[in-house]
Amino acid sequence: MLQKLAELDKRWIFLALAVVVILPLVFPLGLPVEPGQMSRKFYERIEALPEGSKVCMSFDYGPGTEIECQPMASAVLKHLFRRRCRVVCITLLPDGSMLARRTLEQAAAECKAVYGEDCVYLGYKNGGEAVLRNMGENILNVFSTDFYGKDLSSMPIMKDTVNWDSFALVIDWSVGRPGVADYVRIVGGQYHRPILAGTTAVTAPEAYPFVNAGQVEALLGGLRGGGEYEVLAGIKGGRACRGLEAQSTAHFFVAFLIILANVIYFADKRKKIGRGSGERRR
Amino acid sequence: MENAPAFSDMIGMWTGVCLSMCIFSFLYKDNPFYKLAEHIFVGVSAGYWMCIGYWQVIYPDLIQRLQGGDWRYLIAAVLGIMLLMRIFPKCAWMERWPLAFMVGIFAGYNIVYTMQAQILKQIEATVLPLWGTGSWQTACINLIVLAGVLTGLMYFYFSREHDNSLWGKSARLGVWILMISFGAAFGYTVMARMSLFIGRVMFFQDVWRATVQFFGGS
Repeated sequence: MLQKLAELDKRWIFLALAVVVILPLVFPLGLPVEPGQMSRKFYERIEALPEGSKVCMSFDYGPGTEIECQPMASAVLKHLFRRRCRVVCITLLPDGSMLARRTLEQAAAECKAVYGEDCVYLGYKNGGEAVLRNMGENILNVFSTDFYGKDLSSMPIMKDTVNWDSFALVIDWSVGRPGVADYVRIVGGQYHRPILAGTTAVTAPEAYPFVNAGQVEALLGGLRGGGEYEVLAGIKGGRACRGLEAQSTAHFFVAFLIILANVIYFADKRKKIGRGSGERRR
Repeated sequence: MENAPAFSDMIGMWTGVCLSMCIFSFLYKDNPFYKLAEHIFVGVSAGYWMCIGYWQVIYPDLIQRLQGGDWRYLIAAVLGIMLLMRIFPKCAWMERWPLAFMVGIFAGYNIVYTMQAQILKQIEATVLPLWGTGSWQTACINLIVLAGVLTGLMYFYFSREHDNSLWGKSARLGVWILMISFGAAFGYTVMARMSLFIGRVMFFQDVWRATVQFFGGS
């Protein structure tokens, strides 16, 4: 039996994993999502912002990582609009350009935020940290128009927006470079602005040292971070919460496979040792 | 009720579904559908990046500024063209100048702030009190951080043999700590990969709902 399992075609495992992921998405299990300490800290930091505060949000993710970053970005945007904060959105990744536009448009429409007054989307600018550095001098030198080609100087939200000092908070949704490290180095290190970040699960371990050192105030990691924030922000039926159930079942399945593989390995090893000592006795 | 999706949206969504299935078919075995989807992805990405690069960078930051009479940007244009000269083997040497310019600028910019944000601040974060922290849990965590950093560094010191001495044993503890951190990072990687698949399945669900809506269902 164990031998058969050891020789099992890996495609059966792919199929089983697909079933384990698809089932809870089709038939939700209703597993609870309990927000963690980091998500609470993130939420409380947004709650502490005074009404009318200006926040810069950078969408540095692409379609491949949309499922992890978009739910948290959307939930935080809605939370900011509900708190009557004003949001200036940018992206340092060309892939993020359309995703940022869609996320902002949806959140603004839902929360009735007025474009140009409560929010603006400046679009993509090439150069990564060079862009961040130039924004520290004058944002209008970097972005002369918004994503749609409209003049920024005529927009009320841009009236008193000069450089990083104009923002009460900077939030970065990132998947690598340009990303959290660049923001920590330039926006935090050089311009001393408070930073919050949301990353994919893969990049979260790289970002945690910045949290530990106090350079990033709070971090949301992967789909779990997004799901926890949706719960805190009171968003019903959010994408991250929907996906978290499937994530939980998939993790159980992967853990089961790891245990099973170890059992097979040690049983096989024991069998070989037994066979070896039997031959020696003969 | 939400508005029914447009026909063009339906075409886009179903193209996405078909291409996703083509990519997933690789899990069974390599096949022409996978190759087709892969090539379409590369081609579309290149085209998308080119368009975004032109309309959001070259046009507003170079052409419009030159049209506005700011001739300083000619220097940037010339440097940019020099960067492309590697296409012609005889003029390939020209690309070194703008490259040297970029390397010089970024190295100069980064040295101070990288030192500050990614080295000094991180060292500072490991200098933690082991007593007088208020709770024994914090003291334990601080001790683990300190021991982890020190033993991890010992492992990467190769000028002394990692034998059975205290040094060698500490280095071995460092290996254990590194393995635990790799395990945690790998756990996060598994989580991320699962999320990608979950995202695709949720996309299929959304397309299915949109299709039902398109054909007049509720």
